[in-house]
Amino acid sequence: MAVKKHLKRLLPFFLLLFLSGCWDKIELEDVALVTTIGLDKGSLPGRVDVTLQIMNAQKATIALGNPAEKEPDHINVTLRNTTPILVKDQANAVITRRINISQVQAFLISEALARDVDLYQIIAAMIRDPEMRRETPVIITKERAETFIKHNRPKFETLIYAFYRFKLNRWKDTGDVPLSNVNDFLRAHADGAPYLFIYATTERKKAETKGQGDDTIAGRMEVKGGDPAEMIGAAIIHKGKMIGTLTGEETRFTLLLGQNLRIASYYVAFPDPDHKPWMISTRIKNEMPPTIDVDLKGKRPHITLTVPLYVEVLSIPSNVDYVADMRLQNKLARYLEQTMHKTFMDLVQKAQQTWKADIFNWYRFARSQFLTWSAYEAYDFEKRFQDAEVTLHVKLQMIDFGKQLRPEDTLPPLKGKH
Amino acid sequence: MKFMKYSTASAQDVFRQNNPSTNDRIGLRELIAIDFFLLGVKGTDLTASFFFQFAGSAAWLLPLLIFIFLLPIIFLVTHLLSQYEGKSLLFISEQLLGRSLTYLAAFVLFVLGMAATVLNMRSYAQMTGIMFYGRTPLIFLYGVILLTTAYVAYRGLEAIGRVASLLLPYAVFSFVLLYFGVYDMMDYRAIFPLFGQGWKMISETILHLGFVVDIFYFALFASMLKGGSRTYKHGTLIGVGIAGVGTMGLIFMYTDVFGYPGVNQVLFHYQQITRIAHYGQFINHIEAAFLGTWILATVVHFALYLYTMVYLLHYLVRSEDMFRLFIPVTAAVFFAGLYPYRSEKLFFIYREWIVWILTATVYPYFLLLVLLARIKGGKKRGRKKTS
Repeated sequence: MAVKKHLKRLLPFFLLLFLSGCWDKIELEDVALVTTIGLDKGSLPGRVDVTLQIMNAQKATIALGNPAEKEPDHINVTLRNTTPILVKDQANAVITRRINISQVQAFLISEALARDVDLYQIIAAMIRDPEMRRETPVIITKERAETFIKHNRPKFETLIYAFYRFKLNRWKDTGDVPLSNVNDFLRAHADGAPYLFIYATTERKKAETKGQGDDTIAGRMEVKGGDPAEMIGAAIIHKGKMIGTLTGEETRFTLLLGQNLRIASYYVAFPDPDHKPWMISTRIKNEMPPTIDVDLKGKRPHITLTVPLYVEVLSIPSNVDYVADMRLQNKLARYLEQTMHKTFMDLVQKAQQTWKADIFNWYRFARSQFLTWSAYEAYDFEKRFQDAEVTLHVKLQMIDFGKQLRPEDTLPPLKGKH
Repeated sequence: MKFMKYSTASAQDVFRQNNPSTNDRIGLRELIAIDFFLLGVKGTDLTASFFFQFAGSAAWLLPLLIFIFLLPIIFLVTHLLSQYEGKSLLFISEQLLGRSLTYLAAFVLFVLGMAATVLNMRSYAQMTGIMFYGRTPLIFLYGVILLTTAYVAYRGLEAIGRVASLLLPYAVFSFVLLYFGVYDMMDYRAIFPLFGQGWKMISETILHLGFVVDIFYFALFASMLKGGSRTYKHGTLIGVGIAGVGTMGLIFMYTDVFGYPGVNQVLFHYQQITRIAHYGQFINHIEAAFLGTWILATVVHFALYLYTMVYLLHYLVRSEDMFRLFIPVTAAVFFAGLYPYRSEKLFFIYREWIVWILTATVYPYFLLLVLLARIKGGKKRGRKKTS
């Protein structure tokens, strides 16, 4: 009886023993945290070369007399002709600690691999591992991922994970690259839709045409210095294979037209309407997303878009007084609308003719027109997108001039009493 | 005590004598919490996969549909309980069906309940093992969860009720927190087309109402409710309502984050969502915090299952002390759970069979009781008029 009386009270203390993680207990110093995983084509068919960039976690602390001073910031390990899952044990031949892929900040996939092999197979091979996270960003690199990882030594960020974390914020800020992660890719793949991946490279080539600004893809920007890695533009993956690339500006407008652009404002430059060499720099604000109306009643789907723009004109090098003169201002507004309209329609044309893919993800809006899934599948929006009739209205809602009003620096003559 | 007649009335006294506490009844708040944990936790396991199978992109509407189908049954059962105020279901069925048929019914309930308990517990243990404890042997994990659950259940129904009512705000809070954590990954357009698989939804819901049969198992304890059948009605409606809204929200989250049909590729929706949740730039990868509340909710959920099984066995075997039966029941659940089930069969095929069988037996049993109560009540009324 005494045992029974105390059993009720002693049992919880016995259960406390199991709070430390049972067989899965591991010390933090015993773990090798992989920051980046790079995948390349292996020399054998069906195999990949996996590159792991392992971060030195002890360098993350700032302490006096740091025992890890002489250690490198990160280690790169490349294992050839394996599969992504086997790497976790194979790498322990050359790494002391247990490989842990739950803190991976980015997956890098080389373009050669993306163009050749079904990307879904590669990513799905990794997704069954419970340690892998679905919101990891995925980047497609122009050269081999191994080379990219080797050359990617950012100047300010000593620890490589900080590079990707801060870069994620910049991707969200500028909109020059899409935000691609595993979850959204698998979702788009299940929908049968194309998906845009971030495009990056460390090899810089000469720009084909000068003066393009961010209307370039990675590697062709006219830039010198900065970090070795250049990330701009997007790679389009449709049905698992890479079919093309988009420049930075095209990516931004693609995201805008699909209501996927999450940033508040971005800078666009227009050629001056009258004085051709000059460029007017504007900041365009995304106060309201474009309204998309999909009409599926006729033989061809009709897609009507209304894109409201809030423009802040920030530099007028020609010194034409667009500020005070309302007639000139209206002329500028119409000109901006026309230029944007032309840019958008060129992009839609390219999507329909060259790539034949719904890169704007307008199928999401078509889905709300159907009541059941079988009706939606029978309609097959993907195939009908190529014949769709797209009408775009660009509406300039407001035009603003930044924090200075007059373009000239002399006062106009006073009107009135004199 | 051995010379006492073994009827359910005296078994209650024996129960109270061996488990004395000042307050051995559970009230409305505890019932609401218990119903929430019975049904709400089901939104975090593979029931969500079943819902996606039945209804496609409209899976988030299924809890609403189930609630609509449950409403008449809840009202009928409450009416039945109110006719025999203050008595438990087994007593009522003894009055209406006779002792031997009630024994048969209790036996069937017991066997089905044990099967459901073993399957569900084993699948939760496997879920935890696969997602979080990759190297721990499954037997051990299952054993620890079972031990904890049995301990909570051993303390008695009031203890479970108190734990549930303490835990309820935290569980609801963690659901809400989860929503804010995945807010920027959600695209609400994935719930279209609005009616998913169409009319198939309704027929599949009716066939699979066995998913929510737990709240009717609770009618076994109706004699321990403060306030009787009114408490049962209010508690069940409010508890199932909160659980339904919670489950609807969770399934809405799953559809929006994973996309439809992408959601069919994900096995453990809740665990994957907690891995995605992030708050701002620095607070991310916090799935262990959600695992904490989830495990607590799971323990309450299964503690109720175990307690119900022990109660039924106590009725069937007519033992002296109900709490001594915990060891055989726990051991039976442990050994039955050791069988090496294949994942696909465990999670989907056997579960679906149990649900079908539950739908086919428990609901007709209740409806039969209600029917008999109407007939006998009519007879009673008839007799009164003549006298």
